[in-house]
Amino acid sequence: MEMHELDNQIKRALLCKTNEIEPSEEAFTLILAGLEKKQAHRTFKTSYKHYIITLLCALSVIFGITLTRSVDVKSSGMELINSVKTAIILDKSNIVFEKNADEVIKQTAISDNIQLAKADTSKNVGVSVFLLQTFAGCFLFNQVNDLELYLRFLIIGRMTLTQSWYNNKFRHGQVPSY
Amino acid sequence: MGNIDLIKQCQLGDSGSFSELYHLHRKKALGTAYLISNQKGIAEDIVQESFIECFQKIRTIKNPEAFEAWFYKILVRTGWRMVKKHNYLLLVGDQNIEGLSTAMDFNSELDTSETNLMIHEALARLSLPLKTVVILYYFNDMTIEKISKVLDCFPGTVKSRLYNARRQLHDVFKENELSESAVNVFFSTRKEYGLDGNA
Repeated sequence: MEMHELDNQIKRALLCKTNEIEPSEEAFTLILAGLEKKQAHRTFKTSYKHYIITLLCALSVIFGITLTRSVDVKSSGMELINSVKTAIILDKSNIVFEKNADEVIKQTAISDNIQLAKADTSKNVGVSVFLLQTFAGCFLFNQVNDLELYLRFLIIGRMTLTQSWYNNKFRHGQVPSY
Repeated sequence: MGNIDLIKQCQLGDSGSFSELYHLHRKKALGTAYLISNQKGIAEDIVQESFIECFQKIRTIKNPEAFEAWFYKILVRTGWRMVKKHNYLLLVGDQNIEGLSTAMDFNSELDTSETNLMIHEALARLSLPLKTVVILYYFNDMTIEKISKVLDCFPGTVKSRLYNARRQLHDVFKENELSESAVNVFFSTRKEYGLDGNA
């Protein structure tokens, strides 16, 4: 059989087969009903998204608080101080000399507990601000309905990362320097 | 109203234009879905799902001229998904044979109906991508470029799929022709020996 003849045969067979079926009149009504149903489902899905985001926020708050509680700033500060063995001191006559750190620094640091307490508070404040920003980000992006859920999470994730990077980079002033 | 104007009206949320657009494309869409799925029920479901998705996302179309390719992309994907979901065996059943015999013009040759059956049988044996290319090319009269847009692949891929499908169909025809000639030889030999049953 020639190829063009085969082409014609295929075309004829396909057209012949589709003559069997006729679109029903109520199909469009069904489509409209389906559209309405999908829109209702979408509204439900949006509220469902709200629940998920609220749950995530709640989890982040719980996790953040647990993390803050678990980090003992005072003991880690003590460990840091204990690791210092010698101190180089510059006296009034501009002479540099080494001295045993146990005697010089440790006693001063232990007696001055205020600085350590301050450090703890600043950490708490930092975490609270960070959580508040996450909350704000979540709710703001949730308002943009056309945005896909994964995209929202991606943006929130990016924001969180940027915020933590910013905190690490520029907020060293809040962490006590020993 | 032209197709482009209709799409623009649909994008503005005009439900009358939705209806008009549906009535304009429903027959071709149903035919395509039927050829892909080979079952009336599934075909209707495919068309319904496709139009719902189309109406939901019609606002995202930037170029209304590309509507046809965009719509058939939705239809084909929905069709493939539904066919796979129902785990449907693409074989020509008894129902199709009956349908064909009623749909055929009685004045047309019996040979044509047999050829049609042969083609449907051969089409049913093709894989879904090959079959879809054949349907879009022969039934929807789409160009290779347009099919490549619908299927989201290179024009070369469409060409090779079309070539493979044609070759397979050609092979089926050849097989049938050979078997037919063998049957003819068998019956003529029986007649020669006076074994045709009437003797």
